[in-house]
Amino acid sequence: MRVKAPLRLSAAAIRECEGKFPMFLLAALLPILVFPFAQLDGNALERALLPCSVTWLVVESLRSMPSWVARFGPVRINPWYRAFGVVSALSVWWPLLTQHRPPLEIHVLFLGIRALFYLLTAIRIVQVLAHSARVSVQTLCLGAAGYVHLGLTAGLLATVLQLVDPDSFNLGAIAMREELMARLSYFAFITLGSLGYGDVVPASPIGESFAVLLSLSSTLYLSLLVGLLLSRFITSQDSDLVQALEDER
Amino acid sequence: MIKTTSIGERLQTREPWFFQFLLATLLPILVMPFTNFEGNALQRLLLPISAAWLAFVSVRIMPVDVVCLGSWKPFSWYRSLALLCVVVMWLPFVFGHHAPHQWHVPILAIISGFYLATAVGVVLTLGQVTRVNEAVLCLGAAGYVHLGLTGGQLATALEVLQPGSFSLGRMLPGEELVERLSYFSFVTLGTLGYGDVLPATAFAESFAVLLSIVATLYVTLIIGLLLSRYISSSRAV
Repeated sequence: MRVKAPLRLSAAAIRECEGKFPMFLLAALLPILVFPFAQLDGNALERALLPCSVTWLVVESLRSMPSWVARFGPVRINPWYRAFGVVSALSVWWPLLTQHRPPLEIHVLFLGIRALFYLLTAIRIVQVLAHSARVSVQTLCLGAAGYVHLGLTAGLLATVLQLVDPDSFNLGAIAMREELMARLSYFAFITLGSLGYGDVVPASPIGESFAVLLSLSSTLYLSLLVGLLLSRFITSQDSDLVQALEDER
Repeated sequence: MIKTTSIGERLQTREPWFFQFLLATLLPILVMPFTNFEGNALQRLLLPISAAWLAFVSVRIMPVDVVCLGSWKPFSWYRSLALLCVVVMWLPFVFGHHAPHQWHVPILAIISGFYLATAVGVVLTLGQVTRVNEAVLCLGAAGYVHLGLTGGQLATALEVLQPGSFSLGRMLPGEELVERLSYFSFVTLGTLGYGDVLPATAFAESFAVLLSIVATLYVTLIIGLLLSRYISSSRAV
């Protein structure tokens, strides 16, 4: 049986899904936690960590968001979004199953699809946030998950850039057995948090533009969206308080 | 002819342009890596086209009487400045190489003056909007990007005037000076401070300090103010 998705995103649908948002945030944070332990040439557990966490994140992003018919111009996004999700969930298992990496072109393609999936997730999160009528703790969790998704997307895109043009980023003293993706995700989050240690820096014009856009998106995401959410959260708490006081009278 | 409508009302009719303005502002950052003044026609065309689009949209959204000093309206010069900026941006394309050295500083001064005027105009406009909605928030974001573009052009002018103002780190072959210093400007603006491009003279140090102060104040004051007005207006509805 197939339930048709409603045409538009409604506040009621978002409220129904709210309970799933904290788990979604955890799923988005897990890849960052397992990166240091994820080794391509390690034992079975080390090799399974990253695929497991990515698969869980894909499943969470597909099930915890309310459904609506998303469009980009005349194109319906939802089938594409699901297809990208399935491809990225399956493709992370390749190194574990075949014992070595896919060839470079296919590797870049898979990473690109995963980056696109994360990016679409971040966009969907912003849309859900824009349509939610009230702001609760769960909604704030979703806002935080959107921020983490920006970083994950940027880490993957930076890896794609580096694989296509190995001079895109100056990686500094990369640690023993550290994966390229772990290092560049670190760079993405350092840029996103406006820390800028400067141990990994862009080294090509495209890398520089990438860092500039990333920094702009993080500033605007934090100052506009999270600021908006927080203030709405505070005002909704105020109105709850007023309601409670009036009830007492 | 006497116009009776206030700035606030006229700004409301321009709101549909604000989102396009943000896109036009972001485009120079996207096309800069692919720009090469000595390259093929497409590589030389990218930057002038994006600059022309940006100038066109800037002129569309900017109210001329946004600031009045007595009867003098400084922004009545804005259109001419925009036109001049576009003409100047097309010079490298026409010549097929960089403009002659003695022209370089005036050209940079014109471009940075135009961006600076736009940034100032955006801030003044934001002070006069009667309502704050998503379009106005886009305008606020575009103002932030304009600060970075202005900083990049000013830093380039500084470096051309006095070579050695910035220690540029490991510059890449084929990378334009304006590209590297725009990158520095945005890195400073976003409070990143990677430290791969650094100011190397007292003048450049003051410049970096000013840029960082402007960025912090813009984000906390202007964006904060806009947000609070947006929230109070959406609550009133």
